[in-house]
Amino acid sequence: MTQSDNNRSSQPTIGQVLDERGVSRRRFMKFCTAMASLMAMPPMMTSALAQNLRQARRPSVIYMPFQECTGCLESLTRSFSPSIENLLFDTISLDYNHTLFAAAGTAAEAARHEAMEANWGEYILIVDGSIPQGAGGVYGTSAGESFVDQLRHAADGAAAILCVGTCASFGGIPYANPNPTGAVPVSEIIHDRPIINVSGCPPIPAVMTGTIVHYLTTGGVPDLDKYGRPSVFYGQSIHDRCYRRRFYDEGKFAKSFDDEGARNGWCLYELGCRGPTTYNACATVKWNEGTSFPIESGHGCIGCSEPNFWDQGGFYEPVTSKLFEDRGQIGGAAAAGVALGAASAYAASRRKKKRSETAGEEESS
Amino acid sequence: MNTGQLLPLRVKTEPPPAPGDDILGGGVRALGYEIAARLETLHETGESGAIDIKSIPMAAAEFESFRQMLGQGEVDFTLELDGQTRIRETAFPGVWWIQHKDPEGQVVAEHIEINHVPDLLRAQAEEIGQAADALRARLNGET
Ligand code: SF4
Repeated sequence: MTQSDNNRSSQPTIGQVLDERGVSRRRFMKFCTAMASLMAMPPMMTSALAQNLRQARRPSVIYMPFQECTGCLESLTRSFSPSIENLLFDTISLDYNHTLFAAAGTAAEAARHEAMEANWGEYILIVDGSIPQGAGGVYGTSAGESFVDQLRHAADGAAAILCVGTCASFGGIPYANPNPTGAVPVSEIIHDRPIINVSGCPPIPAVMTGTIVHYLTTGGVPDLDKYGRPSVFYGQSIHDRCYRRRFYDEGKFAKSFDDEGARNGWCLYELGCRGPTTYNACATVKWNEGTSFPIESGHGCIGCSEPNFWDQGGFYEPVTSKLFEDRGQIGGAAAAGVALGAASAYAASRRKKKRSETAGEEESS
Repeated sequence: MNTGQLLPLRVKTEPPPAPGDDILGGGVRALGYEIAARLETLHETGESGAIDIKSIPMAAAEFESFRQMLGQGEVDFTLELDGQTRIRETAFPGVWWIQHKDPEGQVVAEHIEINHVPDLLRAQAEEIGQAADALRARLNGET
């Protein structure tokens, strides 16, 4: 029996951890009900979900931050308490996260190596940030090791890798043109481990909780979309679930942030909203403990959960009809709206052209 | 240990809307028929069911007409479980409206359960076994 086998069988189940902490069955059922709803499971599956989750072994989690801004971790930790999601995050064994650790330097690195060795082949590796490969990886080093080498080593012993945020998932802002550090997403370096991308800049914390719950209860990777994201959370566009959608379908668009349309809550498409090409759960799960999401606050979606979102042109230009066609995911019901959207994009480009012509005339006069 | 605290029962009944009151839109009516079908199943086979209403997009007016359609039964109480959980029996026995809120008061889950007693309230076999041991220990002066 290896050390890892020993460790695995000695890890308590999540049920045992919850019992030790005095978490009542009903409190746990409430958490599972919220998770089932989030994961679009039938409510009557809640008992089965709860049973499976209680029986799952408490997972060891190694959280490695690389080329990132710590926004993802901020988003995650700020929402964990006192929301019910902390029920799960109190039960996992977060064996390494150098930002949250009280220990630093050699002591923190030793703890990481120890935890990895003890749970080799079993831990969940959470990666936050892209990985700079330029100039031999010198743009990102820690404890004398490049991020590339650290990732390769940590990935070797991982059961699965959870990429938190758009940087780890798709390269994100460091990957944006001209990408001076040669940044890449995890999937460009690791090819032999299951990778789940939880994109977003930052990602929605509840989506991450749901993904971990799914992994623990089924022991497997959830159904993923073509970008490696859990389909249950990224299966629908922001536009499909947007409460302003009826204005889009009626062709009612705000033309500036302070016009009558904006005040009436009309569609923000012409102001650059990327809801039609962005797949995420913001419109349903929302932000800040379910308070709202950007479109509800009067600003269009900037598409932060999509690959290359930073290099898709200005945030205040309408997405083009070509982008719709590229995705090939327009439902029949949306077709009328798409036609309006395309017409709207054309109208906006005409306005822009007109503005630049007027500016040109003014300059030359 | 947080065992959840039962608050006093509040009893207030609302009759279901009178026949002929046409307060229902198509979506609400469809939900009503689904609940009726599940009630029949519960009655005939004992099989319970539930509908996640948080995931069904409803405008505020539709939601209100859905609430009115189901009315209010005799039971209405609140549990304190990391935020409030309210369990209401509707005017139709066997149809329960369950709403879970987080500590900030945001609704995190809401469903209609068609059951004799909501699952959440039922003590589980494992717990009952442990309870017997705990009670004996108390009677023997061990705790
Ligand atoms: S374009 Fe944006 S604001 Fe308009 S309906 Fe779609 S997601 Fe909503």
